[in-house]
Amino acid sequence: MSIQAAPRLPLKRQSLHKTRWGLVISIGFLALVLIAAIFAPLVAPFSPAAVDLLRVNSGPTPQHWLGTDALGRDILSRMVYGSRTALTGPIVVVLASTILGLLSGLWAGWAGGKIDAIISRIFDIVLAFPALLLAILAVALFGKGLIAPVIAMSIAYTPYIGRLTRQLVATEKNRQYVAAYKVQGFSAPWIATRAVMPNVLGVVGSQTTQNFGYVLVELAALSFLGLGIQAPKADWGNMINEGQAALVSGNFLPALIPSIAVVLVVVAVNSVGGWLSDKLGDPFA
Amino acid sequence: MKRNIFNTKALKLAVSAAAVLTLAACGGASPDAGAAALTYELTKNTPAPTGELDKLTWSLYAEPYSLDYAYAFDFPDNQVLANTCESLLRLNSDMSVSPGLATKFENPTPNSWVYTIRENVKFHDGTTLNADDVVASLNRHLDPAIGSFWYSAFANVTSIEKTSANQVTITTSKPDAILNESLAGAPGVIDSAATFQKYGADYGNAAGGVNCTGPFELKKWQSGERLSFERFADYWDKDLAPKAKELEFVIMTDPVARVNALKSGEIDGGWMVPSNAIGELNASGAGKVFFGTNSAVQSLIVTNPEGPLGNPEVRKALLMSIDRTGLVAAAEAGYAKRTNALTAESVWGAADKATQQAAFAELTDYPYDIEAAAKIIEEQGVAGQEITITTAPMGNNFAVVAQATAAAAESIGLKATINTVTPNAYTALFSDPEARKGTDLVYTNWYLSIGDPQEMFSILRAGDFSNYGNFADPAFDKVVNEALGTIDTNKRFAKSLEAQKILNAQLPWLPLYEVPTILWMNDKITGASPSVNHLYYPWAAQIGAK
Repeated sequence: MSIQAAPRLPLKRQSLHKTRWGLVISIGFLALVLIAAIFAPLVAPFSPAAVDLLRVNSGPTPQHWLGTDALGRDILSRMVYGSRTALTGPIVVVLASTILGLLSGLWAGWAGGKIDAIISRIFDIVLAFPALLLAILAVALFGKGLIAPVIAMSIAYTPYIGRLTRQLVATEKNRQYVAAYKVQGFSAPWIATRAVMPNVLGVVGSQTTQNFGYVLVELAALSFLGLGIQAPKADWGNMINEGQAALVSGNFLPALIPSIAVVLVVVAVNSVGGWLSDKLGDPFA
Repeated sequence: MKRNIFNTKALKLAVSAAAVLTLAACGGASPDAGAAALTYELTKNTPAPTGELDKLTWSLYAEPYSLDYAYAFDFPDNQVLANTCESLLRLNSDMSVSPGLATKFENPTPNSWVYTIRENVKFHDGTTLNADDVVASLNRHLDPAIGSFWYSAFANVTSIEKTSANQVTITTSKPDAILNESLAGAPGVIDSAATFQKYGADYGNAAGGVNCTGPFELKKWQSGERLSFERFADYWDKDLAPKAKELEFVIMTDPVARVNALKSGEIDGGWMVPSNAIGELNASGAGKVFFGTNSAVQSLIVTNPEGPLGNPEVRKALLMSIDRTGLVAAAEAGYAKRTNALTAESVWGAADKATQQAAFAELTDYPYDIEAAAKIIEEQGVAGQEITITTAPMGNNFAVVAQATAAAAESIGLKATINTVTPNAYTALFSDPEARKGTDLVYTNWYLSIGDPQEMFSILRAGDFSNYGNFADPAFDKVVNEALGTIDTNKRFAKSLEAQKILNAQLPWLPLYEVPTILWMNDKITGASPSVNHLYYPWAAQIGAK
């Protein structure tokens, strides 16, 4: 007797035809940002640290397409280099929290009983602390920069993935294909990781993309507060913070451009996440 | 689980934002784009007021640390204190001094100063000023339990005594040329002896307050928000009788909010408005920015003698790597003047013309020269060594100077790190050696309270409280000590010139630029004299309706 492949969750028929352009633009924009981040030294027209004190807050010019900041640094170049830290932090947080969340959620959902109760209470406790607060606490304990907040946020975001995974696994384990694997003598870890896990990955992936947006905003907020990436390193949150001073002289671009970049990346990532969610459907409906 | 707050509406919002960006970009270069040093005229006096005001509202960029004169050591503290508490002498707008609560001051022997106390002066509680109040007030600076920030002004004082019903004598261990002038500032503030007893530890803070003789009486201090005053009906100086019935200081730490409040007329005026907002403020038509005499120099304090900046050659190289002309444009929107000295020209006003000129013309310039600076760094063997610049989010100039200095250091082969701390932690750098650990450079806007450069030089003697980098040069200490003991003005300033040249060669602090005193008054008010003396002179009493 052979075991049939575990059934995948049903995909919804593509019905949001009118949102496709938004999706295409979002994916295109994210690809652009990713390329800029990877090839920053080739893409940026100037060094992000090159100071020109006699050309501060210049506004767009043929040499400086997005103008210069309060130190005469090229805003476009700083945006390009800033995309590296803007993407790196959220990617690491999302990867770490997804791995931790998947493993812990899988264990809780599969084992049930006391283990489920303990892991779920741990999730509840961690969820009681806003991620930004945990990150600020981490900075207070371990110092400013990217590492401490990223570790804190990885922990803070783990329950979002963990709870979702737990719920999905708890549903999946009662399905017939799981019973069939058990009858055939497959071990519980094998069934959980090889048969059940692939079924929950799609939905978790959708949640992960949404988390990416939140983390990006929170890490930018941390830099804005002076607790994350430190000046003079190019970082979007830092740039918004530094650009504030120019507002009193009517120069909006140094603060506005990185602000818009944060908004656009978050919107694009969530657009992709929303599409994924639509494609995969609501498993609990 | 978090709700997905972004949907297709968010995309529309982003597109709208992009449109705003495009429109902003089409606006072209800003008024301060590419600004170099501007020419600006200093104003001595603004037109006299023609009427009274019901209320005068004034912006403060930070809350005063204390209204206890012993701890009033910064701009916000002193500009408030000056209107409610008065000193034995008055600091005039040209940095000269004249009688205040003392009608007369004499120097009968080299080691003594005698002050005749003004009669019929009332404190805000209705009691009358006497010599005992003066003795009690001045002696607080000598009390270790108080820990006065102004102790160094009294370092040579051996006694402060009442020598007759209306006379107080200060005796010094050796002649002290700047003690008398110091009493025109916070060191010379007088409050009633009974008030110190009454308020105890709460004296000068938001819970206690003060009870002085100034033209405005403190009514309420809402911590973090505002300080409210009423004019004092029994104020002794009828020439300075306040034109405003109420005076309110509003604490606005955010420069953008502060500038908007000034433009809208919500706040009538303010000192030290951000330089980069001057163009916008003047263009608003809501009032006018005035420039006046200042005694401040913006500089970088070298705080770590153990680091690479402990070497004078490295300090020289770092100064040469900083584009100070560019810094004037970027940090102060052009409203400043590049300098090679740690003292402003205004504090040399009592010197003869030749000394005044020599004090600046005979200094070594350190021109912006990256190549030469990098060569020095290489020769001194400090390439790749790290320096930490500590700054605080306290305005455009702080951010620009810190980052420009870091970039300059990197450009000549040093490694620079910027450490951004809270404004409170920044303030602690100036009082707590522990707070300075790990810091090599601190940006400061250091003003002098008297019209004599010795106030600056004296703090850089070995062992002085404010000698943050433990600068030690026996030749410098010798000439400064001699100058402090020289009562003759010309002879003292000749020695000051020597001290100025030593500092110019040794660079214990790196001089950057001088800024004028900046004052904004809206078009409903007039009367204030734009000068650094607003830190010790009851300037708000001068302001009335236009």
